[in-house]
Amino acid sequence: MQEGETMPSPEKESDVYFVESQQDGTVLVAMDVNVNEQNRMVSWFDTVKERMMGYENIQRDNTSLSFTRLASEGGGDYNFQPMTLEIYQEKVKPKLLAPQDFDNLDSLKQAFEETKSSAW
Amino acid sequence: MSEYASDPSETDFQAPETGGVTPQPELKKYPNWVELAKQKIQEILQSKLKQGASAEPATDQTGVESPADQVEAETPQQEEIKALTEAVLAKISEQLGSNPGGWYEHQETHEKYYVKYYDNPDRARVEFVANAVYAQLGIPAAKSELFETDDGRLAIAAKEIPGTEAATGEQMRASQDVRSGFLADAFLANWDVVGLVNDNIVQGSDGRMHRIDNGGSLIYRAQGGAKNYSGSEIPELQTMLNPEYSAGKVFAGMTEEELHDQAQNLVNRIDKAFIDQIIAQAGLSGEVAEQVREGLKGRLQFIKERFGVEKEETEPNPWQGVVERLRTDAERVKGVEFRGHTDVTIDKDKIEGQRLDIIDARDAGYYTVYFKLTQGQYDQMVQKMHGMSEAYGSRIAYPFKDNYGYDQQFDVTQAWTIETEDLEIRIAMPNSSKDVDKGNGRAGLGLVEIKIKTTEELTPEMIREKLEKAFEKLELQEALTSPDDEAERKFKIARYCWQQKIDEASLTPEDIARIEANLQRQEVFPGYSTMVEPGKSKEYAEIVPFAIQHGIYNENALIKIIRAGGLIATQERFRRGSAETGMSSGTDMDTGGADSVFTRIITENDSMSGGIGHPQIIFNPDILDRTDWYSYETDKYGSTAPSYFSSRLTPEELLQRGKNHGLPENNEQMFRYGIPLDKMLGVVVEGNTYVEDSLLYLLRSGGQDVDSQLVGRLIDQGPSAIKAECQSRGIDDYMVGDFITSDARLRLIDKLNVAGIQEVNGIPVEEFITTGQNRKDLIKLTQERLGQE
Repeated sequence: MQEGETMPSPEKESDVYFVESQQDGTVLVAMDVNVNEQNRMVSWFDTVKERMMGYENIQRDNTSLSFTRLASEGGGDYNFQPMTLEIYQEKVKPKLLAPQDFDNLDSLKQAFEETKSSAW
Repeated sequence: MSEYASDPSETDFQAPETGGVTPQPELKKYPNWVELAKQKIQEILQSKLKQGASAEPATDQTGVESPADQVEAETPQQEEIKALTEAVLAKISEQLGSNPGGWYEHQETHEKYYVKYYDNPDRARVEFVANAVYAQLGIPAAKSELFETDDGRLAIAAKEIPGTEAATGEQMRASQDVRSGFLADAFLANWDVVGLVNDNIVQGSDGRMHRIDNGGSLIYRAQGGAKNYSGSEIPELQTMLNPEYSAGKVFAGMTEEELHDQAQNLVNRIDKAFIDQIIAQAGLSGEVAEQVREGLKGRLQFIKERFGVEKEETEPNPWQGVVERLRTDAERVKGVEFRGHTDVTIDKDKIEGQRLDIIDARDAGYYTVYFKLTQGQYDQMVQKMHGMSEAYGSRIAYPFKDNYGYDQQFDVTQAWTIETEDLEIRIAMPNSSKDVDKGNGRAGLGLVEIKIKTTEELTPEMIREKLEKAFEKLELQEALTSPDDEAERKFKIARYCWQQKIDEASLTPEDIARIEANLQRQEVFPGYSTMVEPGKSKEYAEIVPFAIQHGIYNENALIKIIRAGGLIATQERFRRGSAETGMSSGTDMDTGGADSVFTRIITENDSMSGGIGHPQIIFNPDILDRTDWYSYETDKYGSTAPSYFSSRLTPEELLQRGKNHGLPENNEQMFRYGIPLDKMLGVVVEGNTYVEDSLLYLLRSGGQDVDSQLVGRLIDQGPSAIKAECQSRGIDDYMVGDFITSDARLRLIDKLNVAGIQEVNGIPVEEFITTGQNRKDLIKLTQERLGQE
């Protein structure tokens, strides 16, 4: 990790987030979240490709992250919260290509981790 | 323009890839070695300017042949250009013939070129046109290239024909190569074709007779004086047969039958569009261009009338070779469990990109054919489907095996289905998307899927027959015809306007002529063709130096890319049954981005804070020659929705912004279908400053002395060398494994080695994968790999 970059807490690459934005239907899942404070840019892997957005305001706490995207990029509020089985079932699963069912969070996270092999 | 405003294939009108198309001559404007020479010249000029000294003349003249006797005095300018050119091309002989020039040898490739410098640049251009005509007619002749020096002067270079020997007049008279080119010589008024002492035609080691000096063609004499090149008649049909002249001695006795055959060949291969194209490519303009154009076109007409011939129309057969191509592709992608595919170019204005994508899915019981209708045609089809009683609702879905080997399928869209005994035809429903206006479900818009039910291999004719039945059902029979020259012309213009975001109505006749001359159809990925404008990327690089990157998130993704032959768009991968996880988001299918692969551009002026991050593939900048890519300044997920698409940037706008204030890190470029492996220059990973210390520590754990140079050498040589060295020192394998895993570059190389990949594009993986500290290093590596440093 470079100077100026931090991860939202808890800072673990294996963490999987549910991403939501009222203004942007293209966000859904985030892994490998990075915040480059110098460039004011948030980036993450979304199971298909790298997403990267400039931010105006950002808030972080121990479990979540939210930011307002730069107006010059179209604006919008984005909220990251840790993935749970409930969120997956209700909000994420319907938007996946060929989703599976999971009975524990670790298996769910592992399945998302494996999307990195298919991201090309 | 039609379509979804977003699709680069819109209003596609494409020429057939195979079948009855005459070969195009190689008309390279700026070959690599010329670029290198130009760059070197510029560097040396700048250096000389700083030193206040003039360039030294060439000293290395170990000529292979003695100079001819008609040496003209060279101007100081010519001397300087020649001397500077020799920084890359070493002069090895003085001029032969009547114009300043000489033999040069490329310092690295050792290929030899004869380079001529004309005081009058139009002489070089005219000679280029003459050579291009010979090439188009299949007559062996000098293959020439034009290049411009920094002071704006033009030179012409012809690559050496290996093993040449002088030919006697008698040999020329007996040569079919020489005699079969007579009508072309007369057409071009190449009075000096034979040469004063039979020195302009030579025999190559291939046994063929080559016309090597055609500078005395068209409007110029061999010595550079002007000559009358009339289009109203061809007096050379008599004068060049007059045995009083050297040409007449060789060509005497030509029969009317021979002339007729040559006339037919010329009329078949040369038309007015070709004449306009080569004149534009040569850079001729003004009165000279018109003189040459009128002369060539007039003489073409004269030949048609004199010999009573017209162009013989040969029906191109786009289906030729389809089955072989499917087999070859299946073999090529065996390692990634892809189904073989190919495309077929058809149609004029009903099908996007003028192409059918054919996939051999006989393992699942069918061949599948995919295409997208142009928007106008799709609207009509939707109306038709509403009234078709035999059509029922179902879904277009791509079956695939997931990472665990289970059969899965991805639902693309709701569709009307028509089923016959041997066919399933599906047309995407327009209302199946969640919110098309916002960009949802765009990858399915206009989509048609035809399944030909069979497990047997079909012949191309059988595939065509099946599709004829399907197209008849859809009332699209006309779409199975091959595109003609006019369709090709319209497609070029439409594609150019799409990428440059300009209205076709605003194009001037000069713009149109330039577009027609410069754009050409190329297979830019195995089984996928589009229009490209060769050399355009070099113009972009003159705006601001840049690199093109694509990040990868783990080693397996890189292995798949290498095995599949490049980056391939999501939709295409699923169609071809790629083993994937179904846990990926379908968002790019919704935005339309799934039709393309994503890259980002870094320019010299970007903010460079932050490191390399994930491993980055860097690409040859010449992929920007393609006309099927679009770009956003910031992350838009490749959306093709009209609300976003109108804000896309033209290539010039993108790079101009890069030049003026740098590009945001989250810019994106979408390339339709894919980017092939041979456009990958390398992979850059985050450098690890502790790697040498760690290896030193590891080696010392074996209890022996360690030569400090050994450490650096082993790191360069990669994991295999490190493992061997450690084994010889008795170091535990698990410690070695830990060390390799701790370094991003070594880990990636090791993974590729274990997967059986030792080199990529002929480069050992130990060199292909390199390290960098920041994003600027991606530009540096691009330049290094292209030999621009």
